[in-house]
Amino acid sequence: MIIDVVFFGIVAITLVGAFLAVSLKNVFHNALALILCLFGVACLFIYLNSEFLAIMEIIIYIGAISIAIIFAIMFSQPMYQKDEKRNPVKIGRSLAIAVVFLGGLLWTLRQAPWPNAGTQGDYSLQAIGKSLLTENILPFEVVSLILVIAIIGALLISNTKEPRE
Amino acid sequence: MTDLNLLWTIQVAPLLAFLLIQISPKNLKKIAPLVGVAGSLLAAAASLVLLWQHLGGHGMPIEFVHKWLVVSDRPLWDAVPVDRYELIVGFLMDPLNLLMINLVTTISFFVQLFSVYYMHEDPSRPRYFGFLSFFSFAMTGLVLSNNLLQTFLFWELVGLTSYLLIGFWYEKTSASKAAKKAFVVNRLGDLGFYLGIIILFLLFGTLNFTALTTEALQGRFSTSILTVLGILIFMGVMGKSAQFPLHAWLPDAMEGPTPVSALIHSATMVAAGVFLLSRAYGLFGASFTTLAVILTIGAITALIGASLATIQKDIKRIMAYSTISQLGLMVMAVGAGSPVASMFHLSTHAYFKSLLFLTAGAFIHHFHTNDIWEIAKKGGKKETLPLLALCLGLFSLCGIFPFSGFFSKDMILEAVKEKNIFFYGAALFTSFLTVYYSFRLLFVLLFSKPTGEVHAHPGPFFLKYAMAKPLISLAVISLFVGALGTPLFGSRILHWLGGHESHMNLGLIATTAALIIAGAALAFMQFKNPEAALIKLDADKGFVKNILENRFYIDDLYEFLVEKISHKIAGLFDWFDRKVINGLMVNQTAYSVMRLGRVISRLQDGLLQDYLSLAMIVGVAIIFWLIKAT
Amino acid sequence: MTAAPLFSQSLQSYLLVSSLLFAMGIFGLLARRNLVAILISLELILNSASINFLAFNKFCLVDKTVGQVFVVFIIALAAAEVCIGLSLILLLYRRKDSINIEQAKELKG
Repeated sequence: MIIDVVFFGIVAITLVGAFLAVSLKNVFHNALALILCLFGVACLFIYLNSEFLAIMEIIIYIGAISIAIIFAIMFSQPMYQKDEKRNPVKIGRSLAIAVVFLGGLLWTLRQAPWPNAGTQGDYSLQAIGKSLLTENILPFEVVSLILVIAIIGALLISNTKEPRE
Repeated sequence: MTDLNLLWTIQVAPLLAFLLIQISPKNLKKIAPLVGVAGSLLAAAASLVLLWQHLGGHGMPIEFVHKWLVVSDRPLWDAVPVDRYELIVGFLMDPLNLLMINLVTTISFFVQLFSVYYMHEDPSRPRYFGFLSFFSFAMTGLVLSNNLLQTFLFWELVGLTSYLLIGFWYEKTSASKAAKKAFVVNRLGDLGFYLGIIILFLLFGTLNFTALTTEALQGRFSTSILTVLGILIFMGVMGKSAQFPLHAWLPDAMEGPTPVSALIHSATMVAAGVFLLSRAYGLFGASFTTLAVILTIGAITALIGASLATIQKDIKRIMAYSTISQLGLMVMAVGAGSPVASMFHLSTHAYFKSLLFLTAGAFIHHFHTNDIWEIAKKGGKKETLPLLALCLGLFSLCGIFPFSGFFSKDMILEAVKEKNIFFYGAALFTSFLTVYYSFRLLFVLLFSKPTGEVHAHPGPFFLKYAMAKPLISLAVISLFVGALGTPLFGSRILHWLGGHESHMNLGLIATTAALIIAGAALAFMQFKNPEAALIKLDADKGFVKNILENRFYIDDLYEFLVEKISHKIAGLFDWFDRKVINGLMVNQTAYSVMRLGRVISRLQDGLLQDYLSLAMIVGVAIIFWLIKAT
Repeated sequence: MTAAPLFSQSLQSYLLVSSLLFAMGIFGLLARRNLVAILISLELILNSASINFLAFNKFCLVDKTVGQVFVVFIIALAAAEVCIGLSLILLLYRRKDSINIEQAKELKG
């Protein structure tokens, strides 16, 4: 019972954070709202028996990605000072598309016959690690490769020096 | 030499002359007259040999056929009982042909020779002799062909050469306009001609002259179809032989050099139409209506030509209208059912008319003017040889015994008399007018008092020879040819052509003699004082004179038709082409595509979120459609 | 953690949450002008996918590590993508002196 109440609270936090993340004018506020939302998501991960992932979420998403985002925000000129009018057509269009997607998703997810396999199993970190190094070794290595490439790419893109002759 | 070789010689020698002249380099171009004369001499010699070989008239017609194209081996339509469509090329040789060939090549030779004299000061001589030879090639091809299509091909070539030669002095606007007029009017006639050929071919399967006999045609087609075909092909004759209403080009064609007029517009090209009438008589004679039409048009032409000749001041115009009138008579003869009479008159006319034209050329060249009063004032009657030749030619034209014109014209009158008294009257009136204008010309030349001194025309002997020989030869021939039709010579020529004896109808002879005397007397009374007559002519503003002077307003009618109607129709089509086809169909299509493109390109505004929105909408739509499908 | 009627134990609730997050992310992606805000919306979308994966992992899969391994990858890739995205934003800012996406429309047709 308590679990459920807390569950509702967590969901509320997540959704409110998400809503604020997309609607507030000041982009810094959006970033803070995102952090709130990600917190909620981490808690949801705990409800889904993935504690490790919850921690990972917090460390990586909140601790690294969001900070990077805030870095980028700090670099740029604050847009809210310019006070540009919102474009109702654009907002209306986006709202419509979002609603369509929402409707579609909900309808599909509700009526699809998901198989029920029970919630018993091995959620432990050891199992994840074992899986990473045996079954999913290839994606594991590929992802590390991707990270390296991303770093190199980011460096290249933001290079300010002229290319050497 | 075999027949075929001779035929090829006749055909090809002038063509080779033309090619030789064309390809010879600039500094060798002065041999052009020599080449031209040599080519025509060769052709003339070959045709004389051919004539001599076949004088007996046996074993003809001889045909050399080469199957060119078999269009279909099966019947093409159910309604038409023809099971074989083929096109052939080849030579045909029969008495009619041989006569024409000799006529064409000999006159061609004389004209070429005369041209050496006439054109010896002209800088464009090589072009002239080249075209003249090319004309001989085209004309002989026309005469020797054995089927309608080949005839048509050479028909067009002859028309082309006529255009080239009429507009020979193309710097003169009047000359180039006249050439254009000649070609266009000719083309009008050829329209009917070609249409007739096509229909005939589609309905009959072959265009071979030997197959186009009256029996075969009458057995196959109804009279109405035969009439239509006959009239269509007669349209070609109308264009080429200057019949009413397509006669307007011939007087203007006198803008060309006089030897050209002598060759083309009196003796050969205009005779091609009459030749075709005789050649394809099987087709024309198959329907009485066609013959009636031919007779009527011939009569109208004869009257128009003769009447317009009576008020002309230009010697070449007189000859031109005279030619129109005589052609009308020839066509009348065919319409009256006697192609033999027509061909006979064609032969005599060819010789004496070319003689007359060359004489006129001699006068023109010497006195540098076309006007007969001017020529007379400058001492025309002192030129003995041309004057004598002129007299000879004119007497022949009037049909005075014993000159050749007498025999042939009498034959025509006889044939027409048997048909219809009304047309007979028309032919007689034409003869009367002919006498009148001929003697008018003669009296103006003879009775004028020359003013100033007569200037002799010095020149090297060969020029004099070049002028004299053709005149003399043609004079002799025209004397001789007529006699061939008389019983004195066994009516050889007529038998040969397939006709019957001439009757020497005394009543007819008396009538014509009376007409001659009357015409000469009238001319004498009016023109015994030529200077006064000229003043009177210029002053006369009577109704008849007005009509005659404006050439029966036919030219004005043409101009009206062309300017107002034809140009308006052309303008209509131009509007349609520009506005509808070009503007609407082409341009608007292009513009609407461009506009569509511009509209669609507005989608690509560079804004990422617009692209994303569009992609998502479309993606949702696709997914929706996919789900719907299952 | 036993009875099914509990919301926290039913698959549908998690799916609902993730769908809402997804829709809000789409909305933010299409409606915001600030490039960084768009990136933030993108993170929302990725997170909704992660919730989805873990929900199915708990309720529908037998081998309970598959979903979690996948989410590990998602997080890693999100990090890489943010890295590149931010350096691109930096570059654009250097050129145009603005991070308004509506200023970056030079590729229009």
